[in-house]
Amino acid sequence: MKPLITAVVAALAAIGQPAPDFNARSAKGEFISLSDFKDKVVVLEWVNFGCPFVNKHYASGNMPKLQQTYTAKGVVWLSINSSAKGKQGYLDPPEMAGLAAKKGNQASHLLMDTDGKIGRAYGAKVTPQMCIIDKDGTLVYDGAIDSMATTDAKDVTSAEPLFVNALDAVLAGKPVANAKNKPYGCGVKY
Amino acid sequence: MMDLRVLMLIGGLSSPLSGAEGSGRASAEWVAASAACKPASALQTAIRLTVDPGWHSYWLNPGASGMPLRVEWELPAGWTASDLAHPVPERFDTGGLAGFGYEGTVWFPVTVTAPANFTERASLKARLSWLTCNETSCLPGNAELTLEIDAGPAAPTAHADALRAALLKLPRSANDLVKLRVTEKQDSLLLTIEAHASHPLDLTHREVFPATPEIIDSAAVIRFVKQGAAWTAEVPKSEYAPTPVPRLTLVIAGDAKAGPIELTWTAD
Repeated sequence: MKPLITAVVAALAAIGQPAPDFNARSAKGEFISLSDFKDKVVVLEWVNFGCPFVNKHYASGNMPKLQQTYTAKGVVWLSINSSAKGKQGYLDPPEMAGLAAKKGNQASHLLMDTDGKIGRAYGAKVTPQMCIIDKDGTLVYDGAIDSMATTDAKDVTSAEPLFVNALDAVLAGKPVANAKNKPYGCGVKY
Repeated sequence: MMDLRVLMLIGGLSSPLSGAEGSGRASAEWVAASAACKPASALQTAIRLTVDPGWHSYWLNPGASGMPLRVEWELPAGWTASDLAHPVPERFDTGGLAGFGYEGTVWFPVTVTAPANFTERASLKARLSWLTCNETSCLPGNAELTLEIDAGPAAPTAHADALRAALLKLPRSANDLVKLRVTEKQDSLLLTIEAHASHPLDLTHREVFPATPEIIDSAAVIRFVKQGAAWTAEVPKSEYAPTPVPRLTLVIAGDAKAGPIELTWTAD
């Protein structure tokens, strides 16, 4: 009998440590490695368009706006779909690319992590979960997009923008104050 | 969008007497023990949430994911409402994430208090939002509920008995007779419970839930064992627990002999 693999395995990633390298196909079929982005700040965003917490940030325009704003500043933004085939949120790559475009996704790349390797390496539990890797390749943020664990789009403006605060600090070369906090959302569908 | 509105309208028409409002995978209703209350007095009410079979809603501490029930009151001038009281939850494992919540119908008691100048009739409103999840997905829902109360002597409603039963299911604070202590270790917490001699306590088969989020790892099953006069349990810390741990509230489910209790420890 094969041992049951669950989402609760020890993650390789840790704050202040080198971010684990990974590679995957994007929804558009490109082969993407984390090591392609040496000397760049990289954002990882776990996404599942079947999740109401994700849709809160797309329907409100918050996530596309952040993607546009920060990629314009030279940040590499990787949206990651870790849903397994047959689970909620999984679509064939071309359909996934189409849905992401329809939702307004403006990430640098949307990665198909269908076997869940990237998600497990980073200990991704929920969508949307956010990670930031600094220019030196160190994991400097792992947590929530903001402070209000709700599905209501109107809460986006009143929440404390935990992820944005962290990303601004990283871009300004300052230490991140709240580097690890509990992300909210729907469980990643490994 | 249109579809949803038509659906809600049909839902409303099909149960004109219940006053339950639904969306997503649940429906909610606000009921009172009495149709009337006197000025400057309290009235027992409850929000009743019914979740579709196979789905669950969430406790105050939802666990690793999920979302607690959220309420925004819109009360006439001078009226107040207590917090929503939550009964003892159940434990869920959803795709490897541990959570706490409820299946089926759950009553969340809330006490409302009328102002001294209450006359005639008052219309109280509550905007409720919730999250329901099953094994594969989550759906949010919301309802705008209204409770009409007349000024006057108590007039028990058909819900009075069920409300009384719902109150008995709530954990009672037992801090005066039972002491919880928390000793912090590297990656774990040592929990010690000692009861006053007049209040014998048997925790052998009682389920324990962490009401304070992200102090104890949500996946940890908390089992107390007897050590001398005390009961102890060592549990893994949540990876998000602040250092030092400032506070912890535990809810201990009832058994055949005793009702559910709530214990709170605060760091000195």
